[in-house]
Amino acid sequence: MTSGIRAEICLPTVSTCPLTELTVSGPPIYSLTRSYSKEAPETVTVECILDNSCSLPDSIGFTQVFDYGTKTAYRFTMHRSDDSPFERIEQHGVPVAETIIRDGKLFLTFHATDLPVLRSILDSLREVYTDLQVQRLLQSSADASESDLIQVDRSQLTERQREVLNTAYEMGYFTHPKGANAGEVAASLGIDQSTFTEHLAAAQRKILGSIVDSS
Amino acid sequence: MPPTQTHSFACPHCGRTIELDDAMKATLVQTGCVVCGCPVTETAFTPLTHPNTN
Repeated sequence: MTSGIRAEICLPTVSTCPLTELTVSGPPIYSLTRSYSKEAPETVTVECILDNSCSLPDSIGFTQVFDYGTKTAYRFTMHRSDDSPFERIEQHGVPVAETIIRDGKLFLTFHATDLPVLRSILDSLREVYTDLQVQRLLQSSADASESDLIQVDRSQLTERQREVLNTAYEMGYFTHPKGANAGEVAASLGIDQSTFTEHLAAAQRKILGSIVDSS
Repeated sequence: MPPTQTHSFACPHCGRTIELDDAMKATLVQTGCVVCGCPVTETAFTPLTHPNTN
């Protein structure tokens, strides 16, 4: 079981993000990614997808990289800042998973590996952003039975085997006491009882094989 | 699997309000407010009712 925590925070005032101003009276920005390069370690390249109704200030130096029709992907470069909320989260080895900018506010989601890491990130952010709001915290809570997951490929069953299995299940063939016996399920399917048991045995063998092989 | 209950946590010390799930609530009861670190009790939590879980 992991003790990871999904944190959703809001930063109402972020002077280090030039995009927040665009959303005060403009549409929200739902896509923002960042990258660094060895050639220019003092800068960060930001890519965002903006609605075409956004009025772009010349001061940011946007470069259009892809046209989506009603939206456009832009890229720009800016100097890195120790005060950047992205930097303060990433310094803990934690990437920002989701970024939304709305009404001039920055909404960030990240996954802290544990509670001490979460506290360190929040402490670091509060040094700069005193109005930081922690909106939502979710903690991984899978117990042993939930974490023992396997994948079963249903396509390994033929159409006929799936039909037989579904009908038998729906009629209560697998309940105890049985809601229907083999003869009744076979009759419902319009096949011989021996044909039903053959199809059922083949389907069960495939499904149980997946489960047993995974243990 | 039953849906996870969510709670509204209001820290009696720092006044922060945070939405939490069951697991995070248990963590805060054990370790204190995630923001100010002050100890918290069950009274700091209010169950949240979502329309789609009724």
